[in-house]
Amino acid sequence: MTLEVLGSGSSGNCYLLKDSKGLMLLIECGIDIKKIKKAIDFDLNNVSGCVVTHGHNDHCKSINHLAASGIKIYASKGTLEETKIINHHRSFILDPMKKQKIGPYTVLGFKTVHDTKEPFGFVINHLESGVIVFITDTVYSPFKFANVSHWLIEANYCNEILEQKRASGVEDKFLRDRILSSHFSFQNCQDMLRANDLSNTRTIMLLHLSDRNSNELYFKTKIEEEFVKETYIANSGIKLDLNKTPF
Amino acid sequence: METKQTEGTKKTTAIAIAKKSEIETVKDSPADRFTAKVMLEFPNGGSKKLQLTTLQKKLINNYFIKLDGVLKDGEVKRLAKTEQYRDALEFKWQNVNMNKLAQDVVAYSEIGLDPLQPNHINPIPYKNSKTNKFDITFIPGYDGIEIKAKKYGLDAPDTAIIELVYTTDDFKAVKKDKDNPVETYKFNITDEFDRGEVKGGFYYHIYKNNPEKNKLVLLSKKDIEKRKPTYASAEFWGGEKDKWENGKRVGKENIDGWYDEMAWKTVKRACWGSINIDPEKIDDNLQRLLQNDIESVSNRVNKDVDDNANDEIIDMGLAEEVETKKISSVNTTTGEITEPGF
Repeated sequence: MTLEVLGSGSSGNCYLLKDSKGLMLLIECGIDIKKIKKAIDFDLNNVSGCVVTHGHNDHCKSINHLAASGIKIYASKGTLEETKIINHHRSFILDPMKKQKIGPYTVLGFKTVHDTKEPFGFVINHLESGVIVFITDTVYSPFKFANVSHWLIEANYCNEILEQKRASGVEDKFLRDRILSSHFSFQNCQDMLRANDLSNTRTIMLLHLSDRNSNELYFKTKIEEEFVKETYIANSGIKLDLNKTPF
Repeated sequence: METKQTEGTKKTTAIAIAKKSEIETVKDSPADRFTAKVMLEFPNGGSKKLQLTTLQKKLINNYFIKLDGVLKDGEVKRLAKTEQYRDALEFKWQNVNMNKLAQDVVAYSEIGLDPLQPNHINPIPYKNSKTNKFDITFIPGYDGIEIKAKKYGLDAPDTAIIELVYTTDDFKAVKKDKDNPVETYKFNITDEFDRGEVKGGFYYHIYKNNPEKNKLVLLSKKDIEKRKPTYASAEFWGGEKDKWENGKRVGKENIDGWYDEMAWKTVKRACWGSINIDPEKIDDNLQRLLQNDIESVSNRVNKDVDDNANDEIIDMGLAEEVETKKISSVNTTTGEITEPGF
């Protein structure tokens, strides 16, 4: 199993899982459709589907193009309504807290805390990778997770950096309040990892880092030091082995 | 003569005692004791005694009345929870951070914000886990924002018109150009009692003595909804909320809410919130209001995180598996799925 980051952050989010048989699952589609098609090597038939967390453009920009290209879209009812794709015959509703098969992947959607209609995070299971938790664009996770092999988790901003920027006038208060009320702080991300049993965890990847209010090196070092797990920052173009075990 | 004098003195003394007792009775009222406590707690930086105007004292009394009610409501809600989920900290005056509160009520009363007036300012207690006391956070309402803008604003307008525009209304913005020195608009309601759906709103800043400065700002429905709070309650904004029966969540229910009213209030907040503060008018009171405004969002978010984060465990091995739902026919008005298939 591999994970390729096609985009992460407010300029567009898209992640590609690919198993050893070449069967793919797209997580988010907030980048240009041409980039997605290129990344999947125009092999649309082997894409089992695309799961979308919520209806903001940086997560669903190419949703219509993907559906039109024959790729099935999976999201909450609220997200499908918000993206106005609910009537499309390739739209599929994910019920919260129920697992559903998407090709060789089993996906469970759970609610998150964001300023959109019915935003979701996903637990994805595959024989090769084990359990993957994907959680982004949320203030916190309402849930803990069992037996997680890989965490793909947002660490959008650092409280101290955000407050310094606000105090110096670089970050507008309206925007700062919006960030606080809709994104995962690095500190909340750490608390979430602390609250979970990480004994089965192999990797932690930090997603959706803010250009202005984060510090990549600091985040990576702190997580590595505290949790002693392989830690990565989701920079565009990075490709990771996401198997359950390294060998 | 002596007897008369004694009687007179006695009478005067009796009157004085009666007056004193009257004063003490008034002074002993909880609201007055609160004002006295505020004066005691207020850090005055030395020997200078805190001076409060009569209006300020009246407003501080109002802060007491409002807060007392808020604490009582909080305690009722706390006790309604089962012991397992009940916070140990009681909602009572002894558990309130009085020093912070004293500074806040003096500042807000000086600005003229009255908690007993609707939409001026709302006190919300947040537990400070470091001090194990409640910090009272004050959230200015839309009328409070207007008062602040008029008092401290840089070139604040004399007044403003705030309206929602509905699908049946005729609205035309008339922008400023070389032939038209005053920005304005034309607005006509065609059907007063069935105006259709909200499609946006606008505010219009009016400068009576300088109409060239009048400013029209349009907000689309999307702009209004962008300002909708993340934690907006379905009871106010309408929408879906969890349905509970016998202490268990049994699904979702649709709530009508008060969408139009909330949208109008949002436009009003944008109208007066857009006024920049005049640096020359900034004083300690405004600084306090601005600082508390900043802290209010973090306090609310932190409380939500403390109450709800990392709770229930999701175990993929135990989760129920369902067939994927294919949909093709949805009523776009109600969202109801009427039939499956292509």
